[in-house]
Amino acid sequence: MIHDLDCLRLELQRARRAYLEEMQWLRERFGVIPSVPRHQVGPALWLALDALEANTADMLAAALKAFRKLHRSTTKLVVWHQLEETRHGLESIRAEAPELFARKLKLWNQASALFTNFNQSAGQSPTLNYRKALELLATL
Amino acid sequence: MKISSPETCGSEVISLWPPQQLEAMLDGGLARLKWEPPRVNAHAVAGYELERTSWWPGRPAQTTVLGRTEGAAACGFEDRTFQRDCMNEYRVRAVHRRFGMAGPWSFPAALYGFQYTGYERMVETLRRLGERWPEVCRIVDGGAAAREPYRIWCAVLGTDTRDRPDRPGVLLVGNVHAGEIDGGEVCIGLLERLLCDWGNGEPAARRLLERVQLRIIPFYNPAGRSVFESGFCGRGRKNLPARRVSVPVNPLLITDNWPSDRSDGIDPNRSFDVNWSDSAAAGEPGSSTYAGERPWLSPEATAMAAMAAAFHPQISIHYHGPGGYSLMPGNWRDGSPPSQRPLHLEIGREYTRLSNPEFANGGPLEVGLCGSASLQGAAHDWCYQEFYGAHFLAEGFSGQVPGDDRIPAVAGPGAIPELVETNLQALHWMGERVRGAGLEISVEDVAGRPLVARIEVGGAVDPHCKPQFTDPVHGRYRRILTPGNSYSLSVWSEGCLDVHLENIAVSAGRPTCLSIRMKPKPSLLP
Repeated sequence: MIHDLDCLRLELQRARRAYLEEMQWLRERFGVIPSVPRHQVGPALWLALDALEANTADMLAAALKAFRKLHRSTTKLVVWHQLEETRHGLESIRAEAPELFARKLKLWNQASALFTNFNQSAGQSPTLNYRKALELLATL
Repeated sequence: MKISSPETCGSEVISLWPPQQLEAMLDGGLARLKWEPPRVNAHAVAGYELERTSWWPGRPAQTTVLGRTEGAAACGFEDRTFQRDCMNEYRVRAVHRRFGMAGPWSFPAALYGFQYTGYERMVETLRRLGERWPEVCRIVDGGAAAREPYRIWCAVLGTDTRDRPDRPGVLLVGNVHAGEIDGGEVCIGLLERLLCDWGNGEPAARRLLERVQLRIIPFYNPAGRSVFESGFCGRGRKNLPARRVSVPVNPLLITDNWPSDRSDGIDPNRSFDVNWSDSAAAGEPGSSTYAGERPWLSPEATAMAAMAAAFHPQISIHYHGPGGYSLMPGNWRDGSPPSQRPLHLEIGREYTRLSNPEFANGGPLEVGLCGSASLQGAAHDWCYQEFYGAHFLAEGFSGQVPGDDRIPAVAGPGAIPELVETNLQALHWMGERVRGAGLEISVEDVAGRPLVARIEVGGAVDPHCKPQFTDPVHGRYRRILTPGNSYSLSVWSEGCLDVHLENIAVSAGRPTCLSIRMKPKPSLLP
């Protein structure tokens, strides 16, 4: 039991580090400063406080899940904004440069697919596909 | 900045990314903006679009498209139309070189449209007033502030502007903390108004300046204040200019769009040697109330103390807000209240009533307008410790200053004329009160020469205050007291017989004057 708790605390530390590293990466690679959806901060915080109080594996696991969700949502919002920006860009070149539009649309669809078809395998970063989508959008 | 051309990149990208590191700063009559190109696809940028949203709590926000710059490397803009007396929040975005579409907005930058008197204009105003009315206005350079080229200037007003600890004196100190701009502006307004009234022969101004010496330090903290002249938004207390900090990496820590200030330096209102003990916590050096490792590390405090020691003010106002709610000297470190608290309440309540514009506006009247707080090293506590009398830290009422930590704590330049008017009424009242109920003592030897003597007023002794003495030039001592009481008096002077007087009545409206001639101690030698 104690062993489980230790593992979960370690996982929580790792999740926190991964979140901060990703925020740093977004800043350094793309110059993006994400904003956090406020409605997701509250539930995550409450779960963390509950976990602290209960000190059980179930509660810690729930807190870990909530934190990962917060991390994912934060990055997701960045990707969604950039998808929207580039979609507007695509629409504005459609008439003027149809060939370029077709080429770029293909890339955009790939990025969009990475954004929507989220399929996380065990051990994979919770935002790997979002990162791939952003890299793809940078080449759009 | 290095921007590669589209040819070298080989493909035409359409995705644009936010420009970086947008900064906005006031430089005289214009706002200068600068930023860096996007980190990604900067070669696709033809120029930038700028937008400004001007806002202030309680007023409708106004968004304006400012225009466009040409060239990816043209990362600067001058905004001559920024809005005074409110927040100006800027954003910039890249524009595509071929298709003209715009990318995402940058992280914002903001500046406060500072519309108060700048430091240089304040110095010029003091010089002008001193030259215009030399018979009642002497300008004194109190010494260097915490950073060059700023200095602490003081205007000494009255028909006698010499250092006269025996004259009734009132001290006004403005802009104590860096961001407390209104108080400094009120001090300048009071100076101009009072001297103008003097020039026009107004009886109230004549009466005040003929009978009382005023010392006004408009900008007590000019170095800390200077950053606000360049549009800094946020709050600041210390005696060095506040700095913006970079945006935190963790978005959860971004509490507003322009991160809060940090500065070196110390809080110049926590630097006096009052309520200070070895166990007293100076606070974290990074905090806005850092007191320093020991007293008197703030040159502002040293300058003010020297100004005060030259005339022993019996009433002083240290403007934090523009008037209104007053904090009187707090309890001493051992928990005991100042013995003169009834006097503090009497004067503090009247000052508050007169100086608070909410009364003039017909706002709600609160009873018990005077509070107290035990601070470490605060100027008004120090004045009481040194000179007795009544000394106040004037805060602004919440109704005057928007309660938003992202913006400077100011009521705005539009509020200044009314604040000057109300504070002038308060000043005239203080001028009367400082000549009112109290003791005026003159001590001389048998030959009529002034004597330095230690004075103790029984019934009004505060063991935490410094011993009181007559001034060495005139042999006089002056102190305001609560009227309606009777006091005793003890006078000691070296080589003289002690003098003890009982049942000295102090009535309202005028001081009780005592002239004491001290006899020499009989010699033991034949």
